[in-house]
Amino acid sequence: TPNVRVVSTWDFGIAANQAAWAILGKGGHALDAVETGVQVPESDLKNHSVGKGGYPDRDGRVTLDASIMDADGNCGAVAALEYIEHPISVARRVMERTPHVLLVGDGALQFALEQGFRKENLLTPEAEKAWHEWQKTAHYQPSIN
Amino acid sequence: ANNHDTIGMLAIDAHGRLAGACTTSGMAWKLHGRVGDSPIIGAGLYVDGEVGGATSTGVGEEVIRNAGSFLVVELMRQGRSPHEACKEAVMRIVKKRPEASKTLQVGFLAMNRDGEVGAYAIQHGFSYAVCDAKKQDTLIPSPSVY
Repeated sequence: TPNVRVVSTWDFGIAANQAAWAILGKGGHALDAVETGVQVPESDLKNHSVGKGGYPDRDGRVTLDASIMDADGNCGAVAALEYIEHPISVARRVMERTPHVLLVGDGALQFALEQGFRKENLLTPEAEKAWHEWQKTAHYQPSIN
Repeated sequence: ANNHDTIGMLAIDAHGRLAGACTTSGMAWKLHGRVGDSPIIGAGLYVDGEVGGATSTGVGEEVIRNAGSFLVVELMRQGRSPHEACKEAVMRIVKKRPEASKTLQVGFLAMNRDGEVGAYAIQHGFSYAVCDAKKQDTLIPSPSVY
């Protein structure tokens, strides 16, 4: 099995890959590997573009989007989901436990809570401070990254 | 850079099974209710066991507009390598909006069913991490238009 491999975007992909590798390297399922892998940046409070610690929208609300897909066309996704640290895992539940593919907003949160996910504040003090700084100018220009 | 948006991940396991995941908090300071490409199958993520998988990062609006990850997978189906497929999908975005593309970032990352990997971005600075039995911390700078 020479081609067992995981790849991911950006430098923070290294840590995410290593979490995925803990599953892949033992012969585990690719679907479990990618879910576990991307949970790492979702939990990283220093990462302001994924999960908890993410920068909020202009109203100060952290709203998360995620999707997951396997080789057979099975897929699930959530969009504009608030208060749940691991949207990727909610996406997987959408895939495996509903007849749907995409849940959004309040409906996605309701589903997550029914599935036993814990509601929590995702807006860290650091992200809240950055949001207040942004509000001084409220200039919206996504930067090249 | 501190605005690295989104993690997209693709994996192939010991049984040759492919899977992908994509997760983000979206653009900072977006309008309430704005949704990007990450939760949209075919835009931010697409996987087909016969071909491979693709994921994207950057300005989600441009990826949705071009059904980006689906396009990358379909190009691989037609015989492109992961690198070639990502490059062609990026060029499709640039061709459609050449002026806007000078100041926005989109990056694609793809893996085919043999585990070959490739990427391409509009702007310099995109990178991707590769992990296999040989090495678990490889970081590769993506080629780019600019």
